[in-house]
Amino acid sequence: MTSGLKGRRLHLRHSSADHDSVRDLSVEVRPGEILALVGPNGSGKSTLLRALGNDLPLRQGELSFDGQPIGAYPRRALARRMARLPQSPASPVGLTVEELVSFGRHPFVSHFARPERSDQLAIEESLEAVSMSDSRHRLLETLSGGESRRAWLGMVLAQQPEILLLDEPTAALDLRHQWELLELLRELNRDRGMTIVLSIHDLEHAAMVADRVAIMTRGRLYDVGPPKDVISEETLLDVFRVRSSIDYSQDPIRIQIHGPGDPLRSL
Amino acid sequence: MFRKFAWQVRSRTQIVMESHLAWMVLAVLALSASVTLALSIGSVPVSFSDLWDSIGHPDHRLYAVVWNVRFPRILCALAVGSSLAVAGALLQTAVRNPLADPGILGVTAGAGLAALIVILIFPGQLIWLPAAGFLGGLFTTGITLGLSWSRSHDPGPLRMILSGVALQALLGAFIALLTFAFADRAPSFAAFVIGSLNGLGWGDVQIVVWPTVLGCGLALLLIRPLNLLMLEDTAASGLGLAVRRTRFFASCVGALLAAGAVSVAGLIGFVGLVVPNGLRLLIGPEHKMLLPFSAVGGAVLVVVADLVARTAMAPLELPVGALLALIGGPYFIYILWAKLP
Repeated sequence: MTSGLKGRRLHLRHSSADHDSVRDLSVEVRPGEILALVGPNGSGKSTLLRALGNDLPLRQGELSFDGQPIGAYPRRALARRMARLPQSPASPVGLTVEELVSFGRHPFVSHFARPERSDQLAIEESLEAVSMSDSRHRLLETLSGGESRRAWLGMVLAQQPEILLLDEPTAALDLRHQWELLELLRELNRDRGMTIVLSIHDLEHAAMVADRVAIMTRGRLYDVGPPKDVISEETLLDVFRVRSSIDYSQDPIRIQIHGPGDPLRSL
Repeated sequence: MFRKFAWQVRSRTQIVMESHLAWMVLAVLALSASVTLALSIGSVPVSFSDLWDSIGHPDHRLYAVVWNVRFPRILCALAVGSSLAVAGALLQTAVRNPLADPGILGVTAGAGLAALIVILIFPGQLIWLPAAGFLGGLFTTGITLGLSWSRSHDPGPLRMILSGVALQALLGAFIALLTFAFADRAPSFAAFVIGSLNGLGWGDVQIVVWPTVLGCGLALLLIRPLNLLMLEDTAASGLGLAVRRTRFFASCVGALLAAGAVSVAGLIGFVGLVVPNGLRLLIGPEHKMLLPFSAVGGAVLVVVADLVARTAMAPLELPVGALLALIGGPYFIYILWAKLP
């Protein structure tokens, strides 16, 4: 399977903004890897994720999926291979968890056909994977923040995508559900070969789950590589402007923050 | 309070009536009961046995009352009710706003003005009323949405209502000018603006039936895309939905349905607001259920409302639109008060 994404010299801008929030950024998502996007607020992570998911037109640059320009894929064909989860999607009132998850099968069910057994199976599996099987009949507006998050994750898992784009999937989850979610992502990656790109704030979590970490700041790529290579005390000072010490002997690495600091060099 | 109750009702009904069969039986019963009542009650009371005997017997003494006066009027009520309710459901999902309603968006006013122009200029071509109304309604929808849509966001509820109100006032002024300038030929302004089924016959059934059947049929084709449209644009397009195209198409079908209703009944309001929103609380927002039940619910509501309108102050026949506004107005305030941030 070669469902890699390759972005070259991307310039990206939100439709309401008057400046590019991502500038001249080149990035590659390798097939079968977990890539974590980290960086301060406003560094362009969400913008980049939207563009990778073909949800934001490119101002400049090229983005290819499997060697084809991503814009050349018909919408449904792309949705069968790629799924994306926005940061905090609003849940429609009155919809049940199962109904939401079943929407994930939309790209697979042709307009006049009835959903097949394989669709029902995918829905069951997804509900199971996000541990929402017992809550399938609950209404979305009655869920807690974390449960709602998992219900939405269930929807994109029902797409059974080759590549999954997640915008801060651990936000609003409690410790246990954060950990379970990261475990689930690793499992999907290991067992199904799912390529995963996620943005995340917790660097230790990034180091725990990701094969490679891309550090972004001010709309540019600061560094990208295996967690232990790119997460350094110097990087934290430059990009996040905090003083820290990092214990690389642990797995994952342990980061201790000492306090605010001034970057050694200006970016 | 009511919402909580509705949740309980919904979760309980899910257990009791998992196939929704009971809801369907209930809907069919309500529909047949309301039609039967509307056929038999009126200035000339018709007993059930007379009703039964008169079927297919033109020489029956009550045949003319039942089948030439009441029945076509009831058919119009059914069509108007279904059309407006389904149009409301479509528009609410299309613009993702519970306040969207053919009346509030100005769709009916636009359709009404176009229909009025046809009545005045081409009085012999009334079969084209829905077509003209459709164009007028679609045009108005476009303007309302255009005015309320800021580029990157969903149409804010307030902006949308204000745009609709402004447009409605403007179009209403044109309608008033036309009806007064052509007072000899135009329908009564008051009856047209408030919406009325008084005096409708088989000719009106012929006018309203096509847009209703066509619109409801097209709406059924939209069930799955509409479901996805409940999600935010970015989530819906991630599932492979052509969001803008679906939204546009749903608005077109909504305008067609509203235009059909307006062509025979004038500017009846609130059916599209009350029925789909009420049903969402009971059976949920899923369109496979919502659309058919809106059609039946709207039909029952208008038939019953019209029955009350023509009997409550007999021999005076009230316009049914006034009665519906009595129900719809408070409901609109309730939604504004309880549902919007």
